[in-house]
Amino acid sequence: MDNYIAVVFPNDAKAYEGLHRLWSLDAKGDVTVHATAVIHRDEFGKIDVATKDTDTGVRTAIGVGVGALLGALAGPAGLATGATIGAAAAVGAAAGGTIGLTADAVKAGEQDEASFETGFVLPAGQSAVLAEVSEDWTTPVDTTMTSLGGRVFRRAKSDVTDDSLFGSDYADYMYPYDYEPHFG
Amino acid sequence: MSQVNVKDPLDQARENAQAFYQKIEAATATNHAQIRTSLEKVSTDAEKVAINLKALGEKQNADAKLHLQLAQAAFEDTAKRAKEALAATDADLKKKNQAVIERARQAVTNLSRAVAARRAGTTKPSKN
Repeated sequence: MDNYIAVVFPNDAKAYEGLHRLWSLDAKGDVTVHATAVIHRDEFGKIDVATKDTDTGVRTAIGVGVGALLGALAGPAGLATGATIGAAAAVGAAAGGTIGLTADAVKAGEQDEASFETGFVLPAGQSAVLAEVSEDWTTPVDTTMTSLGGRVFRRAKSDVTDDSLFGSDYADYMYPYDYEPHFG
Repeated sequence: MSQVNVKDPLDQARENAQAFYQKIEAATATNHAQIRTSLEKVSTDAEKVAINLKALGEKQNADAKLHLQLAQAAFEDTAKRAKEALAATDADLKKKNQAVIERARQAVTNLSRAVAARRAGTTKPSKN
C-alpha cells in the first residue's frame, strides 16, 4: 500500500535518526521509501525544510509542494481547528509563499471524504520526517519510529484525490535517497 | 564463517540510480564548463543504466516490469535531454540541466516503484 507518512520527533537530532532508520528499513526490504524530507517548526510557527548538507542553502523555506503534503496529512479537522498544521502553513504563506492556500485547497478537496483524520500536528519546536512509502504492513515503521520517540501519522496515497497540487517543487524538497540533513 | 549478502539485482540497480541522481543533482552548483562536462557523462551513463534496466525487466512481475519500463524510458530521455542541453547557450544551460535532473528524478522514482512492486510480490506479512 502506498502511503504518505509524517513522523513527529521532539527535536532535529531525533528526526535525523528517524530518517536514517527509515532508509535502513528500506534497505532490509521492510518498506520501500520513495522520497523523504525533514522539516522543523520554529517557535513562531514557521516551517523550514532541512537540506542535504552538501547543498548550497537553497531549499530552506518550506515550498508549496510540501505545504500541500502537510495539508493532505492534516486532514479536514486540521482545517477546522486552525491550531494545527493549517495555521503553520498559513504562517508559511505569510512569509512569502502560497503554501497556506495550497494546503487549504487540498483539504477543501477532501471535505467530502472526511472518513480520514490522521490527527497530524507539528507543535512549535518539534521536527518531523515526511515520507512517501510503499508498505505491506505498518508494524516495521511504527515499531521503529516509536522506539525512537516518534509519533507516526499516515495517510493512504489513494485517499489524496489530487496530488497534482503538490506541484513540481514537491520533488525538489523530497529526496529520493538517504542523506545527511541540516537546517541552513 | 562470514555471511555474504547478495543484493537483488533490482535493489542494486535502484541503489546505483540513486547514486547517479545524487551526482547529477550536485552539478547544479557548479559553473557552465563543469555543467557541460557533467552533461556529457550523464548522457553516456544514463544510456548505460537504461540498457541494464531492459535486461532486468524480463525477470520481474507485471507491475514491477511496467515501472521498470517507465524508468528505462525516463533514463533514455535523460540521456537525450543531456545531449540536447550540451548544444544550449550558457544562458539556457542551467534551465536545460534542471530539466535533465527532473527527468532523472522521475526515472529514480519509477525504479523505486518497481522495487516496491517486486517486494509486494514476495512473501511478507500482509496485515496493513
